[in-house]
Amino acid sequence: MKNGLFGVINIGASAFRMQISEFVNGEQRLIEYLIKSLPLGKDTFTKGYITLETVKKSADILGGFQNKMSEYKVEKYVAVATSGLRDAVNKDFFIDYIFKKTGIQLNVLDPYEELYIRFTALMNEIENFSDVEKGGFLFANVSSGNVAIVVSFQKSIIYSEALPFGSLRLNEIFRDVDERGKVIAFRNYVDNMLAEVKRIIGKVNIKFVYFTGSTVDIIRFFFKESSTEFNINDVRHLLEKIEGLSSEEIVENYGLRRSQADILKAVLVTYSKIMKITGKNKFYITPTTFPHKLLMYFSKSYRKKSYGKYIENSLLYYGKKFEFDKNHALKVKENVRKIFNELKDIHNLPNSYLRLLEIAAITHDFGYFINPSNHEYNSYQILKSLHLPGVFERDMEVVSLVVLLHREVEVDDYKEYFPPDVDIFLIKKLVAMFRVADSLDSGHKQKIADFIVKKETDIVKVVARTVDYIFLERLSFEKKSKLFENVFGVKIELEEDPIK
Amino acid sequence: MQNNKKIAIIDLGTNSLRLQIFSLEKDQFELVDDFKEIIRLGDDIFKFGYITEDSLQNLIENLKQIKKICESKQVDKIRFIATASLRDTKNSEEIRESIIESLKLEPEIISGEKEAYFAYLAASSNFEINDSKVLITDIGGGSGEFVIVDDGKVVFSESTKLGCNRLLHEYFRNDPPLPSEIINFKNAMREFFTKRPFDRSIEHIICLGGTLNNVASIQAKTAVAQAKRVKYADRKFLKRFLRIIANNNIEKRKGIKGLEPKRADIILPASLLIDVLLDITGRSGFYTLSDGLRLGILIDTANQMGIKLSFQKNHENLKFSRVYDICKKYKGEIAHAEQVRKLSVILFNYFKGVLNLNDEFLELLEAAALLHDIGNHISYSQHHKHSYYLIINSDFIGFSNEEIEIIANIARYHRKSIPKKSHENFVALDENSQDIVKKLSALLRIADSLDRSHEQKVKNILLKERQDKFILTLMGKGDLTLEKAGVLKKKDFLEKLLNLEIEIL
Repeated sequence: MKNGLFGVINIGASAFRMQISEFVNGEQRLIEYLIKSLPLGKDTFTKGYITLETVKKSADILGGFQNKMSEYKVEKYVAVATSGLRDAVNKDFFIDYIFKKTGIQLNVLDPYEELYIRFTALMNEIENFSDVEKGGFLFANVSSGNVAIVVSFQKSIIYSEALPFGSLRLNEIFRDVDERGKVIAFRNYVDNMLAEVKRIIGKVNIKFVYFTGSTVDIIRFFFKESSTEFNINDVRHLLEKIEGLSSEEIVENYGLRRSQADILKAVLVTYSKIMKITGKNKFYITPTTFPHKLLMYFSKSYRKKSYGKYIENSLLYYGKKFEFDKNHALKVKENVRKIFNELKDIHNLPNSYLRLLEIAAITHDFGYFINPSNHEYNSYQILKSLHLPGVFERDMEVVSLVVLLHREVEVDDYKEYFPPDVDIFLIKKLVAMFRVADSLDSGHKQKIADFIVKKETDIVKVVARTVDYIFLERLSFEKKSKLFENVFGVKIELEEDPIK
Repeated sequence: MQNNKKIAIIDLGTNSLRLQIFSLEKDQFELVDDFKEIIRLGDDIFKFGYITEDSLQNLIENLKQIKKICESKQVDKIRFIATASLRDTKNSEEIRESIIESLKLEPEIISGEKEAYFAYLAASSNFEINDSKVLITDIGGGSGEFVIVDDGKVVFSESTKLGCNRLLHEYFRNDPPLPSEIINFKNAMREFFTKRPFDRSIEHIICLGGTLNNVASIQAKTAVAQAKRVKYADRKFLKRFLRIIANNNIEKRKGIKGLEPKRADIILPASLLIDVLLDITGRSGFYTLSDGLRLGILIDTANQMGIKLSFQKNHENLKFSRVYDICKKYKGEIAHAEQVRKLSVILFNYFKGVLNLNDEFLELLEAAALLHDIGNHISYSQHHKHSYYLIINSDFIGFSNEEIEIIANIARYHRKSIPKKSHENFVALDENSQDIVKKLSALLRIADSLDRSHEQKVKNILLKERQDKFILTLMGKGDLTLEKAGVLKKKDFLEKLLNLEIEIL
């Protein structure tokens, strides 16, 4: 980050926050931090939309934030909203209204992007992260709208879901249940929501548990304000004490804000249930706020970004679920990498697309599990629903199209699958390279140990070092290389160079 | 998959040469690879009575490729079957020896009766044929097998010369055919069939063989429907289709969407034959089973190896044994699925009168209840949509494609949104099916809520009607707060359909 001021506005489900920081020689210094309470999520989770009154109040708050930024002469800022706005049916109206009244352009973070930012923050904020990631850890973002959980084991994300039981939402679901009944209902509901992650955790050993999200403020309020380490038994004792109390009584007895008192039981149940499935007592809370994390992320100030390996490991884990052929997947990945790198002057694509081709290589046969015929379409459907922190929706669209088209079909026949802003020629280039890479291991036996790419005038020769007679590979190469010739205007040929 | 066996089935027919590789694990099998070459040995056999040297060389070349594929795929067992292709050719023995000599692969030339038996095996693995009278046909290139199964027993079986390639050569000289050729052909078929017990007591017709499967594929509109192992073609469509192919020459027929060009000629006698059969039996359509013969051979091969497949063990209810297989494949939570099924049945029986539901719809609700959560295998979020997609792409036994669409839609609406006109999957259904989906999904929503904790706490439910409302009483062990809250949240759709309030006690 260059020297200067950077601002972040975060619209959460229960409050609006703003942070302004100054960067001097790579160091970040907090200049201003503002928090205004406004339970946007209460509207969204009960009515499904944000009332006009709340829209107007939001504009007032954001107008105030805008003035503050003008005072400080902040030139660069981002304004992001999470589930409180994301799940409201009238979010477009809200965004438009705010822009007209304040000039602030809001971006709605999708839950997995939010999780990715928080995950990146964790990697950077935990001092001994390299030790932590070697074993198993659970990371939960408990906010008002959602609870997003990531389970990582040996540098591989084996579970990642944003589940709809944030504290405010939970409270709203059981609004009509009496105080004592509420805790029972929360417990059962949360158990149900955690059933799948519980199954997955059963297979690994979780060593560390981290919590983030707006609810950590409540935990800090009751326990050690300045600490990052907590014990779940304290949380359980507190829950026993307040179980029968009304929100008014909680405010009176403990001095908590009313909006926080309303969700206290849901928060405590959620924490204790999540801890129960991990079998641990100790849990940690990262010391910084979400606006701070956003600020560091959007100003590109986080140093540790080596996330690529996580994605690959995680995809390999998902592959097991679909009983994929790992050796084939990795071979195609190796092949596509080589083809992409060797033919840069032919395809002229930026390196970022290589990563997408590699993801396609690992996942292209996942759909076989559903049905071998039509498997490319099944893989496409699976990929459309795969959420991994760090692979954004837009990237996944490109990957899923490559996967859909990886067999010998006419790309132009599949136009209906293309989102309006995706460049068809770009997809054709990626598919053309992918098909060649896939054909080189079409027998799934890794008979081509290695290959070199020779570029001559109007012809590319793939010279394959073969360990066995290649029959299927040759047959498939002939069929699958046609698109390559059409797209790049050069012939591509396969030559054999057997390893004696 | 581990501990599985790979079995290659090579099927040399008069029309095509097929290789299918199946993976066999415990008592389940799955098709993993499929290769096909249309070689049309029948053209020689019906013209000259024997296979010519050129065709033999072509066959051996193709078999070499197939053998290489088998080696490359490391199959555990190869079973090579030849049907009328080698059975009916004068130089059968010579061809057999040439194949053995050049390939070290011995074809098993099977009798027509054995072929009919394989057809029966295949049909019994994909249809409920134990409680009705079913005619199974396998119209190949050189022969046609006919089997009648009545209440699960084979009561008639015959291998005939009615292969579509042979019929084409015998009856049709002109392209497009002359009306007189069509009339002659139909009369000959009618005469042939009426001498056999093919009458109106036949309840269903199941056709194996690629050509009639192609007819059903043309009627199926979507790629998903075309990929199904079991398809249905109705007679209205067949009539329209026959008008088109009878009035166009072979070249023009190749332009018909979905028609396999190499079948453009033989599709005419095959379609006419089945039309006559439908007429005689009074049926309004026929089922097709793709890969039928090879499936039969696979089942027979597994049985020879001492393996009984899951459908052979569970004759009681084939339909639901497959539903359970699908549920298990996607690691479904069986206890919850069964509980939701049980509660769905109670709700159905209580409300069927008010909602005007026929008893036959209950099975659709039960299947949806068992499968509603399978989408979790893909991802929890949006799992109702994944369940829809997985159900649509699964091979069922005994449910028609329309019924599978309904089951998938019921599962789709077990949570979140109720059916809407803006949903593609819902508007694709006809009005009647939409009505069934609405009613049955409204019941499933309640049944699923009644096991919200997934702990099967509700042991029974009681329903009573009071003047202006229904009273639903939950009976069970432990705390039922979650179940009650669940029903409160999901009951509105059923209330809307009933136009009455539901109160929970």
